Order: sequence, then structure tokens, then C-alpha cells
Amino acid sequence: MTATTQTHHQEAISPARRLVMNRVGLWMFIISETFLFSGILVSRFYLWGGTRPHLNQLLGMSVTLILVTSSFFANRAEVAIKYGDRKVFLRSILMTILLGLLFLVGVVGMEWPSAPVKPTMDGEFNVYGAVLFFMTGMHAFHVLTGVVLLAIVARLGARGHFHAEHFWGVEAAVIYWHFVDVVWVFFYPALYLMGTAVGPGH
Amino acid sequence: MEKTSTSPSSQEREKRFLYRRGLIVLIALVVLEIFDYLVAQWANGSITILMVLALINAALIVEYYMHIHTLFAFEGAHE
Repeated sequence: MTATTQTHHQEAISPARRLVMNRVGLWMFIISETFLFSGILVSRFYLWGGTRPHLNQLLGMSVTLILVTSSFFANRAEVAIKYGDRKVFLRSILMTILLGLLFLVGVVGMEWPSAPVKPTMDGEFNVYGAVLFFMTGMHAFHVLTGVVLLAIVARLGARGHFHAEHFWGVEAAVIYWHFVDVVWVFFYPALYLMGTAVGPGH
Repeated sequence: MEKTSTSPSSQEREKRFLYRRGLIVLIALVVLEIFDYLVAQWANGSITILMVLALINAALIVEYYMHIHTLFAFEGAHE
């Protein structure tokens, strides 16, 4: 394809069509991520079966409510920018970032050091630790990337990059954030609630 | 996400409706998460019941926060 025909092709795509293509592309990425997290979730059932370690229930519930609330603020930010309400948009996106960081502190900073799944002295494979750290670690990494993405969106938004006619960047970042929330909606009961608690506990 | 009207008053109404809907979904999610915990204690961590509750939670987020119904719609686009 020559440069001229390429330019003509790009011009032929209307903004509305491009938005649909962007959304489909994002959802294809989300579907591929769903396969990844589904595989991880299945490994939990294969390795833990009907059991689970004694995790801190209060902490588990707290981080879950924090993440769910962050999704509310992300949605609020998206609505605000679509209606040109820049002040609410910036406030909500910053609140989302703050809650995302709080979630990371709760999981990585508090749950990881206190979880009763340390390896045994004789080096025996600890299946509870392996699954717990893999599930929460993979999810926390996605939360971290979401926080970075939202921070970029907030910075661009503060500079006036987004407005009621141009908000795809906000929409994409927010949908990704909600996806991270959806993953946790399954991981929370799988880690903290499903099955019978075994081993040392709180 | 729906954004159909053009007059300032109707846009303001739509915006308020979407803010309110977001709040209602949040309340529903919080209630369901707490219900999750209570059901786990009552049903001894039943995987089936908890998975159904997780699916309801996920459906609420995918429909109302990720607005999957607008995937192939031209809503929000500006020609």
C-alpha cells in the first residue's frame, strides 16, 4: 500500500467508525486478559480444591470495598468528561488513583507479609503460598498498570487534552480499570471465602 | 454510555441520571460483597453459591460501568 492510498484509507474512516474500532480493539484485549485470569482461577480450584488458607477476612473485605468504590469514581470521571465537567473529572480520577494505591498497600503491603503461607523449613512446595502470591501478584500488577494509565489520563486531562468531544483516552483507561475490578470480584471469594479454611490462621 | 440530547437542560438531567445510576450500582456492589461474606459463613464456603454471586457482581460492572451495550453503537462519537 502506498503512502497516498494509506492516507485515503485513513480519511475514509469516519470518527464514529474509528471509535467503534477502538472499542472493539479494547474489548478484544480484555477478552484475551479474561483467558489469562480464568486460567489462573482454574489453577486455584485444581491446587486448593475445597480448601483455602486462613487469610485476614477484615483485610480482604476492606480491599474489596476499596476497589469497588474506586470503580464508582472511575465511572464518575468518565461521565464528567463526557459532559464537559472538568472539575468533577479531575477530582474523581484522582480519587480513583488514591483508592487504587490503597488497594495495593492493603494487598502487597499488609496481606503478603501476614499471610500464613510461608514456605516450610525443609523447602517443601507450599501450594497455598504459590497460588495466593500468583493470583494476588498478577492482579496487583494490573492494578499498578491501571494506576499508571489513570495518572497519565489525569495529567493529560489537567492540561485540557480531553473534553466532551474527545474522551476516548479516558473511556479506555476507565474500562480497563473496571476490568481489573471484575477480576477481583472473582478472586476475592476464590481466595478468602470459598472452601474450608485449613492450616495456621489468624 | 448514553449521550443523546443536545439541549443544556436535558444534558444536565442525563448527567445527573448517570451519576445517580453509578451510585446505585456502587451500593448494589457493596451489598453483594457483604452478602458474599455472610453467605460464605452460612453455606460453609459453597463454591457454587459464591460463584453465582460473583457473576451477578461482574454483570453489574460490565453492563453499567463498562457499558458493553454501546460496543457497536456510535454513541459518544462526533462526526
